[in-house]
Amino acid sequence: MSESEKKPLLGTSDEEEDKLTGCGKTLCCNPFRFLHRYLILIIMCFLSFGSYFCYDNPAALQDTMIKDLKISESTFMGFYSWYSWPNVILCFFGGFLIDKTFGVRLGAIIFSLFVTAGQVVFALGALINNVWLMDVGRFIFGIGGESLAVAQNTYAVKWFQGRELNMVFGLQLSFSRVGSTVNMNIMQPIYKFVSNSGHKGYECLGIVLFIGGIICILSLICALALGYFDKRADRILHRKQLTSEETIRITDVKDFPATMWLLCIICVMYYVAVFPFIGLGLLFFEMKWDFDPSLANNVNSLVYIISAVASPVFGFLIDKTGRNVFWVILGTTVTIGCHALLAFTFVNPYVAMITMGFSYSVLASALWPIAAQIVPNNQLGTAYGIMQAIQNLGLAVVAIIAGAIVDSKGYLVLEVFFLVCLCVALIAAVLLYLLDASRGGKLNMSAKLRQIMKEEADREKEKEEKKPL
Amino acid sequence: MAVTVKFVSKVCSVVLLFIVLLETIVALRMIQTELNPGCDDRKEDCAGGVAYIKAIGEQNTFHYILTAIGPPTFLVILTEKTTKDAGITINWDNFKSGNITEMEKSIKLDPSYTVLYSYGVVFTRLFQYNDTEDKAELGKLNLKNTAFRVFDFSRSMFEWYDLKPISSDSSIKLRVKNSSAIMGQTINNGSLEFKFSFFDHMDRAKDLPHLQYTEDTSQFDFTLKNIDTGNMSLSRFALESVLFSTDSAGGDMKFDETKSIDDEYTPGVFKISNWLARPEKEDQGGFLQHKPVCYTKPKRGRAYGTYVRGYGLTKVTDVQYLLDQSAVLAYFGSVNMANLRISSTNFSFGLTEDGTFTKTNYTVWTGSIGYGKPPMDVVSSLVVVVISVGLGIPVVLILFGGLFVCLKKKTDPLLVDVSKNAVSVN
Repeated sequence: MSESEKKPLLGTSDEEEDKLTGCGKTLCCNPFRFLHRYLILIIMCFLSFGSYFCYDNPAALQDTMIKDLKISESTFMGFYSWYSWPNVILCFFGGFLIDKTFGVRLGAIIFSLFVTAGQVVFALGALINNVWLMDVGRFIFGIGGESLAVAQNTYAVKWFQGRELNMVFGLQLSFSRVGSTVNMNIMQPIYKFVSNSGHKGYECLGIVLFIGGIICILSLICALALGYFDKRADRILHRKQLTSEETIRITDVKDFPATMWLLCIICVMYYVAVFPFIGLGLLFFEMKWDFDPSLANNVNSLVYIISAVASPVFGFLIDKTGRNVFWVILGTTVTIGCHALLAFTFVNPYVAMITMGFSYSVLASALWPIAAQIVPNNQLGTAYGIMQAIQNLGLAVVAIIAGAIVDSKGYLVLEVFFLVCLCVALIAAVLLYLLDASRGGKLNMSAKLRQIMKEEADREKEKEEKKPL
Repeated sequence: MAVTVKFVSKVCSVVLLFIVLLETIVALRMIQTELNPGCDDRKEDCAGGVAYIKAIGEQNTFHYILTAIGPPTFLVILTEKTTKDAGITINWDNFKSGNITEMEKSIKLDPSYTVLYSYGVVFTRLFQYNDTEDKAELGKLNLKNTAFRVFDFSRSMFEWYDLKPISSDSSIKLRVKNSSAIMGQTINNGSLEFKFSFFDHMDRAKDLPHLQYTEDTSQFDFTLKNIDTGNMSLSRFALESVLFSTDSAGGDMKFDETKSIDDEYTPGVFKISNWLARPEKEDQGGFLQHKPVCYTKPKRGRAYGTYVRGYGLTKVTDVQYLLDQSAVLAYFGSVNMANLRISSTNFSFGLTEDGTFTKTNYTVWTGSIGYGKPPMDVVSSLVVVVISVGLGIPVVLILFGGLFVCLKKKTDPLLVDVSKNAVSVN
């Protein structure tokens, strides 16, 4: 554990703090103080805002894009495959590189650069009406985007472990939703504005995408700022530097404990039962409940909207209670109930989708911080990289499988398929609980107990450190 | 443990039953087909032609008469089983004349048969409208501003191909050759077709919507394709259909739409509609069953499916003149026809935002016409097994695992200390 965590939350001032002068001593600039952490949190949230914003640029401009570039639906979908398929592998290496070579600071900056460069190439491709160049742009964008998410997770653990980590993960999730929602709502108006100013067709599209790129530059600035503040905090808080024998090799992955792999299984099996479902949900609501398209669209987006609002709140609650594994089991079980409701009843889908929004928020806030309990901090980038990579693989594969199932066997069987995925996730979660319980229940500890243990551990550590003196 | 064993044995028995069912497709009726009985194509003009199919079973026999002379008509006569070879006789000249008095009883079933029940369908009119406001619903159209064409399948309006050269023993096709122009537009060259299929066993259709059929039902495909819609660039179509039966004319037919959670046979469709000729005694009456879906490409798929809307049943008044030209009159005669139970409805094809018929210039709709209680979809055993296994394992795991942890915590008080050590090591 890093040294900073030895300090109580509102640290009693000792000599390090006295060294700070001027602005550095004030509440908002002092790394010992909570306000400073929260300001950092805001920067941290905006770190990946740009990538989430630009990820869905194509969706927000779908109709105009297809018309301006004269491309088919499948060529259009290619903009997403060029993003997602390489990341089935690449973000694992991204995470590993953060641990091994770059460190989180340089990593975040490099990946932000990739995101920005990718968006610029994408926009350039649109400007000269070259779909091939646009695909390249999405590919570069993807290399940056997913690994940046890994860097963001690693930052979160570094600054908030043992404090408000669940809430921070919840807030980051909520920000990613805000990013894509903002994108969905302002890209069309921007397009109209640019097209009114005399630019038409793909030229207009290119300019609009360049404007989207400005948000990426904002995120790049956040990465630079975070790098500066993190370095400063390392210095002031005397955070441990990695020594050479502590750096990891790629083969260390095979020594990850079984609980880490169970966590990966839960992650992939849960997410595939939520997102590919939302992708196919629109017609399901139209056909089964006779909803008109706009109403069906409302129901379908409920999970996103609710998770944007609810996940920080649930994260906060989980911080207060601890017992992350129970929350994961609860989230999975409730989601099973939601899918069962959708599959086997005609109960208004608002009920199931609202509940699913909440259970997804609970799960997402509780799941990701568990990894920080399992894997030592110097391997955390790799761990999050693996989780993200497996999740990407699952989502990409299941999107295809789900489409094939619904075409040949219909929505009932599709729902059954999702229920089976969720059951696997539930089994993995229960195994995670049992495995952990048989080793002392570290992962599912209540917040209170965790606090007591930490204090005890700190005291022992202090004793040991004082001895040689 | 006992529960698991019991469950496994149950699964095995379901699987076994499934295999047994797969291997025993037993013919339950014998199908005999005669095309244009009593009319020699080489010497005389058989017009649209008549198909006569006998489905002979252990208990009874269905006689199907299908013709494109007059409005397309499908007539089913249920009789007691007879060993004789006898069938129907047609006075072709009278039937072809179209004159009411000459047509009377021009189709006769051999009197040795004891008739138990008769029913059938007449397709009377095709409506075309330019759906500029994308309503896709007949009742919502603004009739003042909507261009509307009515094609009635009368003898003077439509000319049909002879069914004999284009049909086979188990699939009969009624195909339009030409029609008179309505507001400058004709339907010709097989742009409109009814295809009927007959079965001697029980199964599910190979094509979507995979309707179930039995030895007592037949299925039809109604296809519209390659129609020059001319100035109606947002064309949609609706088909008017008449169902009749030998039930008392005083009673009413019933149009039932049942919702189901199960769309495994017809992806994306959660409804099935039954038009019952004899709702008071469903299991001894005729029905027309369909799922509210039609497909806009010949290669049927969920992505090309759009909605088929049924409307309320009405008593037939304004198409009586079409029934008077049909095989119904030719078989029953006008006196008996007046005593039939008859009702009609429209089926309109398409749904808001599907791009209208013009988008693909193709629509095919499938239904089945049968006798007895209409088949209903049931959730397949595969789904049931997968669900019970999928949900069963975690429940068992939680129960036994929880028990194990509780026991271990009770018998091993050191566990808590171990946990403390585990944390401090990290």
